[in-house]
Amino acid sequence: MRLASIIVASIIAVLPLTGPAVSEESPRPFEATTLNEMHDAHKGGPLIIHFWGLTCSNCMAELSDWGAFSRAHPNATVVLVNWDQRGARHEQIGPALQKAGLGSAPSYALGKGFEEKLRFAVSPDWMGELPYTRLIAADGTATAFSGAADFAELGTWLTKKSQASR
Amino acid sequence: MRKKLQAATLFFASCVLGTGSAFPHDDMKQMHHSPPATACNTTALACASVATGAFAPDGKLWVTWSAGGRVSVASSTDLGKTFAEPVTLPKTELQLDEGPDARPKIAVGQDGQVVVTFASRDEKYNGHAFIARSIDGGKTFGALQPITSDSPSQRFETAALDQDGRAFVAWIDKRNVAKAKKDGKHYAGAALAYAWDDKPGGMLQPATIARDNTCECCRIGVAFAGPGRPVVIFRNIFEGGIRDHATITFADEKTPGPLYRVSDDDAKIDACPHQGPSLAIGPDSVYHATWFALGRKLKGLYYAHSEDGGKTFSTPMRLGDPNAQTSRPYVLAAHGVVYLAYKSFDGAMTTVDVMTSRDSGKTWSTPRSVAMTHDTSDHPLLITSPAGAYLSWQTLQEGYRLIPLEPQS
Repeated sequence: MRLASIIVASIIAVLPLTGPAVSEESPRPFEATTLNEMHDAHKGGPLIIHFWGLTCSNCMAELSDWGAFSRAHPNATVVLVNWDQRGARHEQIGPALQKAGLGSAPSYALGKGFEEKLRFAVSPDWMGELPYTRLIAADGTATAFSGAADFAELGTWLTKKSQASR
Repeated sequence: MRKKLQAATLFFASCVLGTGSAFPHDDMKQMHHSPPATACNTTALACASVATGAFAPDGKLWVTWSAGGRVSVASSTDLGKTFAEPVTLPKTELQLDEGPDARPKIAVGQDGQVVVTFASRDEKYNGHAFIARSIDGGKTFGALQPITSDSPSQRFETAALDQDGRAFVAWIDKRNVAKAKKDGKHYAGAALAYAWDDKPGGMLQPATIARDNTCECCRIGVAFAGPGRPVVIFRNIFEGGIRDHATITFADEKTPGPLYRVSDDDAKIDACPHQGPSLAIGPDSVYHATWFALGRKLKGLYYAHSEDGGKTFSTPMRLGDPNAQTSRPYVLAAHGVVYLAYKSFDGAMTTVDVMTSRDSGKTWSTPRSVAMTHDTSDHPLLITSPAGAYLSWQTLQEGYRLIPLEPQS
């Protein structure tokens, strides 16, 4: 039984970003190379990376809205990155995403190590405020915003960028 | 006198709860605190991710830190080169609050009084804050006392000792959030709460709410405008959901005065910055404030001063390089100098820069780098002894450092 679980977990671990529901499992660590891997894996279309925290009340307040947005745009790639730092409770990430309807979204969590360096790699402008969202177009052009999302505007961006990438 | 009050200002933080009563600290074995080469899970200072220092009036350095799931306290008579055997406070039922702006804090008064505050957090991230006291010069600490008994959440507790030795504790409280939720009403943010000791070294009295609808995400700052007159700086929620900074100066110990805005950052943003302000008050009664702005008008680190008790502040002065993740500003007014410190990251190295003003914040020296590290680091803090001002900084690679700040020309 335990061996079977390990095998299942191993298979899940190597699934691509667009793979089936994995959020109930432990989130994958967000390391120095993760961002580039995400970009490489999604060169053909727009990518939304949403940084959030269990410790951030504003993030938790809008998490289910991200779930609704994801359902309304099934072809969009929305990646969730949990950015809780010291004392992070990774076991709560999967259930929180599941509850918000984001159980099938690729899920990462801040890896162990130098948070400032990992954050700098995401953007030198990002001061660590949450929620924080990066929008990456198919050509690699990135924009970002802090705070609650304007989902209507986000939908427009997605439509525009999806058309552009065709 | 003001200097003593400032030296006693506590910067309280995150948590531990416990049941113990007295914690021996008899012998004064010397403890080295350089960081270990491998992973570190003990309660030693070398394993701490955050550490807060404060000087006693006699010049002894006191440090409290969080490591191995516990809060510890130790003193040093040689400016942090070596420490006496630490006292580890009782384990709390819940794990310590390790949020980005949380830390254990310490204030040291006359007659051997040492006060430590910190908070723990439950599975819903509600904070439970405690105060631990020693009246015998840190040899033993009494049982942990919750800072309040009737609130579902308290965070960012910050204490200072008044001239008479009584502790003033302020924190961000969610009792009115819970009440509003029960009544089906909306309540933005949390509240600023405070409590005073009933007598020096006594017990905290029941809490009072000084202000509803304050930001729930960030540390607060406390300084004294005079005996019985604490001043609190915090991120307030103004009309329209604008999360800009404000001060409240107590008219007397029971009367929080009017709220005055520090700056018009226009922070209309539903995000948790996890970066709170810092406040110092000089012997000339000038208020010095520094903060992180995330507004539509101002973004980044700023400093301003007030010569009229917080009613109006000078035009905010931008600190640091906006492209270098400049963060965690801190201010100290001591020995006739105002010091500002903040840290920056250039992609490889974190540097702490210090600026000084000899005219109560009107003009400033150029920034000078005083310390650096190549890995994870705590916020840079500024503390003062009777002899001089210091940077107090915990880093993963170097451990705890106390670095003297010579005023710049």
